[in-house]
Amino acid sequence: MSKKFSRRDFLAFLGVTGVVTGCFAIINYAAEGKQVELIRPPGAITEEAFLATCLRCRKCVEVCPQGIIKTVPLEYGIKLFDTPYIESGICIADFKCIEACPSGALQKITLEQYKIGTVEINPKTCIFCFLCISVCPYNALDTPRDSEGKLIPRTPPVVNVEKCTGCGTCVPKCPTKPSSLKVTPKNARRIKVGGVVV
Amino acid sequence: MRKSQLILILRHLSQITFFVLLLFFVVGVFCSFAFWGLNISCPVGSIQQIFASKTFYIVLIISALPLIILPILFGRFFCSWMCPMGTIYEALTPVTNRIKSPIKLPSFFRKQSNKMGIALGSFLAAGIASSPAWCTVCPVGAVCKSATGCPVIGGSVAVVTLGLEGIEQRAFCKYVCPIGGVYVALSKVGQKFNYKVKLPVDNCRECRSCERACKYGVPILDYTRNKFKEDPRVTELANKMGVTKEELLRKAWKENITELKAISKDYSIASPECAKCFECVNACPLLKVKK
Repeated sequence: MSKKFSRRDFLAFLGVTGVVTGCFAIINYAAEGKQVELIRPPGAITEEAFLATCLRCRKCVEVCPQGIIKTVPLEYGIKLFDTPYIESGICIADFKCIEACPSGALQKITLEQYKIGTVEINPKTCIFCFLCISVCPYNALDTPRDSEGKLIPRTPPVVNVEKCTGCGTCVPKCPTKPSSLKVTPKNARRIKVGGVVV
Repeated sequence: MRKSQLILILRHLSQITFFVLLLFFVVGVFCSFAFWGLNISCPVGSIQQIFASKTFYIVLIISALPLIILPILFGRFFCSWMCPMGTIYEALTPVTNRIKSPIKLPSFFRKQSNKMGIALGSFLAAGIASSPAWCTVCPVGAVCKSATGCPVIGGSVAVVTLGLEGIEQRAFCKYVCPIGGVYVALSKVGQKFNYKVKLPVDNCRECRSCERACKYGVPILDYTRNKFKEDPRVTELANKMGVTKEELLRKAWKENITELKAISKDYSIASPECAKCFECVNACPLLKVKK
């Protein structure tokens, strides 16, 4: 080497390291945005691990055949920024996003494990047409019946939380504007990981 | 055509190919992309992810290996052959060459070890904050991602670095970019055996054209000519031929001295900062004259 790396240079290096560490850590803690739960793509691991694991490479956004995966805007805070989420649209559960994910933020799952959220029906705007029941691919919606098996009038369909995957097929089929159905991230099946993952 | 020109054309082709393919055609961006079924990930992102998640994802580590092993073998080639920011900077050189900046960057900023510090800092910050700290501000990633909507922070950082380019060429690459920092560190690991650029040291006239052409601030003469002049074998050869060392070196300008040429083969630009862009070889007037 022509120029020796002196002690002063080393101290400068340590200084830069310290300043950068501090700045990034403070920004990540201080710039916390809205605390919201988001619908993540299928196979997503638990939220905290997801934020740490996701590379923000947007591969899932590019491969999604439905084009429903979007990236989180800056308003949601630096930690959530640019991570993938599903705002609306129909997930057809072909798991192209899981295949594309290089980081392990989306883990391989079977169709039985697939659940990105639950649909909720707004009883105020529902017109009890039961169209949503007929389109549900997972038979998660059912007509409201009492204990004797009689149809309860003027009541929205019942959502089977176990069966509903939050795919959103029913949402655009609703004839009311805006749709009375809404997919929420509630009860989403998130996978726990840790240690060495192959 | 000269060999160095051919390499230059190849390099520009590689830059354009990676720029166009990764932005518009290949699935993924430089953070991670699929290349004929092979996953390749950015080492900085992958290391941060390991620090942040405290979990070892074997698939990710394997996908980061190509861009960890290649710099060990070929040095920091990424910056001048693949990096999309580097491509933009190079496309802008006709403009930035004409700008004579009245201001100079402060000396604490102009330290090449800064980028290693920033790399280490973002790894530690990723560990503390449990989120890939650098990736949210990375201008390289932002440029890659711009096909599907440019991320706000990274995009603005990219604009700032373009401004820096007006003050000093490749200021961002030389002093800030942690991706370059990691590649420099890896290239230092393989310095004994990795690929190095060679220049005609034996009849070098010390015109410093190569140093002026080098965009990455490598003191080329310190690695080649100045070291070559101090070589004891040169002094020995001068004694054997009955001339002083200065006379011998002067003589080499006019005639070919095979022994001196043999010694000069040992000297190359052994700097880990070298981005293998071959601009110095292309700029050397000796090589231009001699065909």
